[in-house]
Amino acid sequence: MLAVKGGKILTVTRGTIDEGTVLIENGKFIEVGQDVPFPPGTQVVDARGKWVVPGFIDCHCHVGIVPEGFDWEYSDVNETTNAVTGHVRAIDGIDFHDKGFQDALDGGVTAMIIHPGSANVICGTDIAVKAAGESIASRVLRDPAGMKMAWTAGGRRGPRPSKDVPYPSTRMGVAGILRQYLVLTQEYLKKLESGEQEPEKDPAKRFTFEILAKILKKEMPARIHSMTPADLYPLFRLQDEFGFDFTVDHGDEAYLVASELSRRKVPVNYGPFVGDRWIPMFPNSRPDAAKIMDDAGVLVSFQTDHPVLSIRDLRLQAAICVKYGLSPERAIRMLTINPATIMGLASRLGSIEPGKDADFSIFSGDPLMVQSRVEAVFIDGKRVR
Amino acid sequence: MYAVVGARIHTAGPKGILEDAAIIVQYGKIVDVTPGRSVPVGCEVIDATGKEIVPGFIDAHSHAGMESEGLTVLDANESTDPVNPHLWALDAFNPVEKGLARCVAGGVTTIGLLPGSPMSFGGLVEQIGVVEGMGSAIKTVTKNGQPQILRERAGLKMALGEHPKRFFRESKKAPATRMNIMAMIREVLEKGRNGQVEPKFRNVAGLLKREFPARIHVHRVQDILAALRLQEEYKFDMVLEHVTEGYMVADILKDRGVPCVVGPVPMTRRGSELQNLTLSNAVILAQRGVKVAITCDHPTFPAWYLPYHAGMLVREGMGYDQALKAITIIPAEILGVSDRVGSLEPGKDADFVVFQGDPLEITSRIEAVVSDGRVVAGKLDCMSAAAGGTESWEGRRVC
Repeated sequence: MLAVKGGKILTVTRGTIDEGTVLIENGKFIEVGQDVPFPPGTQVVDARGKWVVPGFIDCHCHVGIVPEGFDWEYSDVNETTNAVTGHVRAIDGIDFHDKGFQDALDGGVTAMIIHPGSANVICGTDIAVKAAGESIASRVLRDPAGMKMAWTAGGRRGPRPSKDVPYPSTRMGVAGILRQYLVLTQEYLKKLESGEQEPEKDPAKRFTFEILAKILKKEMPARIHSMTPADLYPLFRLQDEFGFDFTVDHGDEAYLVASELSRRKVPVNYGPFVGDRWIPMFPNSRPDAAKIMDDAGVLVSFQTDHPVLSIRDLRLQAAICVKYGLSPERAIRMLTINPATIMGLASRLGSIEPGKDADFSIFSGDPLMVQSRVEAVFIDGKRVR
Repeated sequence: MYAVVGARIHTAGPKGILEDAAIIVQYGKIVDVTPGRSVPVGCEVIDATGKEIVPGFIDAHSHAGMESEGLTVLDANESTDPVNPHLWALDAFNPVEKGLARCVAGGVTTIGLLPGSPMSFGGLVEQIGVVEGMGSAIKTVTKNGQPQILRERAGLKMALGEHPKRFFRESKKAPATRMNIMAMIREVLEKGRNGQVEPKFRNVAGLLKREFPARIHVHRVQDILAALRLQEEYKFDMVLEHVTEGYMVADILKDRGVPCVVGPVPMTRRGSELQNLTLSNAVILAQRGVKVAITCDHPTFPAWYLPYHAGMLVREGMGYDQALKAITIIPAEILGVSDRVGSLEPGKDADFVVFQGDPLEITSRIEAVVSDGRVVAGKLDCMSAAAGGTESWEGRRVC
């Protein structure tokens, strides 16, 4: 048993406890409170004067799949050989020993969704993992966690695909491809239901249909790289037509349709917005967008899109939003319980409460201050930094 | 004449930090910075009790006003030829470019406007040159649509290493190797020291007469050492930019007295050249006695994040005062304009920022930005001297 004693505990779901104690056993939180007794022989971590915070979660990054310190040709992030590559899986491209995972720990980030890149319309499946652990198997939280799609794909921005491969050049073209594949998946499902043994002979297509079928059955969401209302209205129409769940990834101007997102319960995985290069493409972006969406009832989380912004600096985006009016409490939720919910793992992650995974950090001070240091990080109750 | 009183003033000069102090301003200049609240008779008094005042921030390496507001407006690189000593960043300067107003709102009052590429973004190899042209020190507040130039010839920008190599190799042009990058620069330097210098190479002649430094983009140790060799051979003044592996040769940089403009601090290891990137680089360089400024390389990171980047270095072990100097007086010295800006001392330009809260924290609020004695962003409640104003990022007043 491990006791973290004396720190200011941000439980997130059960308020803040000054000079509290957290008890951990078998990798889980078992108790948290002001005066929590523990048996003799318990290992005690003195956290007096420190802040104890749930592990932060980044629902959109490319850690390990864009290798740190190599040139672009070594990257495994974009399979730019076709506009539809639903048969590829992020896990096959990830180096689990990449330095990027250390960067995550350096910023108190303990879990993340790693995506394939946004070059294609249907990019491949993504995966939810922990930043550290004894084995890859123990680190994988959900595989697949969703299907990555990109609304501004294929030569409209990002790495240019081969000239020989047909890619859409307009939003109409992207919508057209997506609609085609959703219709084909509906037909695939009908054939399956009518007892046909092998409705699709081509394995690559079959793999794509299998995942899209899960999306149509709402077993997992599509996670869609999309920024502006011009991206989102067509997605709303597709959602009405086919009935599926999706998350808005990036969502620079998504606040403009906040009430519609709220009504549809579409979460926004917002960011990264510290690089000025985003701004020219999205002239309506504004630093209080997270607050506007939160006030409208949209589930919002922050993302770094590492290596666009270092995953270490996830919390700095929250600080920027606080500067522009978001309350610190809501900002912390957007780093913890909100992304855990978007990941589909709110029962395990995102807050300090009994029964959840003991993933947490000890900060020297307020995690929304740049000068605060991450002093220790624990995953599954074990110190990993 | 007016005085802002009651604040904690970080002078970044010999007086250090003054508690409950007054800064007295007249005709756009600082008359005095002094502890206490006594001010000359007839002086308008503005109460800033509990606030913090710092010199206007300075980014010695910036492209604000050149291309920050659009990927499609690429005026910072004349990439048709690797050798362009005759170009001037000022010729690409757009006085109404939005990034400038945002610099002002964020308290960045002076920049080194340099030609050359921002860091590569999203894996794309961006345009760049080898000898890229002349940079100038300017204020971010323009007057009558014209840049306020503090020093017209602040440095001749060059670039070594993977970035130019990869760009020109992919464009099927020379140089394709580091050998040819160096050979091309030597050729340019030779042309600058002939008796009769062609117009294209006059800026090179100025460099060799040590009228301004070379500003050389380097990441790896091998490129740092190459720049040092070149300097020994041709005897010019030099400032190194980015200097990602500088910490590995900190003592050499100290011995040679080469100032370094390090950053952007939060950049990631995009590309093989950044393999040995560490947040501690600027901290180690400063500890070993190298003169270190930090840069956002706007628009790679917006220039107005400069104070938070300094805050990150404090977290990593740099002294607070040192970190503040790395975004004020040291870049002023590197740009050769420290007689005018960079610290709060009598006789200098009245460029300062009034903060509610720690100036190096994101969540602190800028109450006012003052340039040449005039409030150019935000306002202090009773600051009747205030005139003008500007918009922040989101198009609203800062406060």
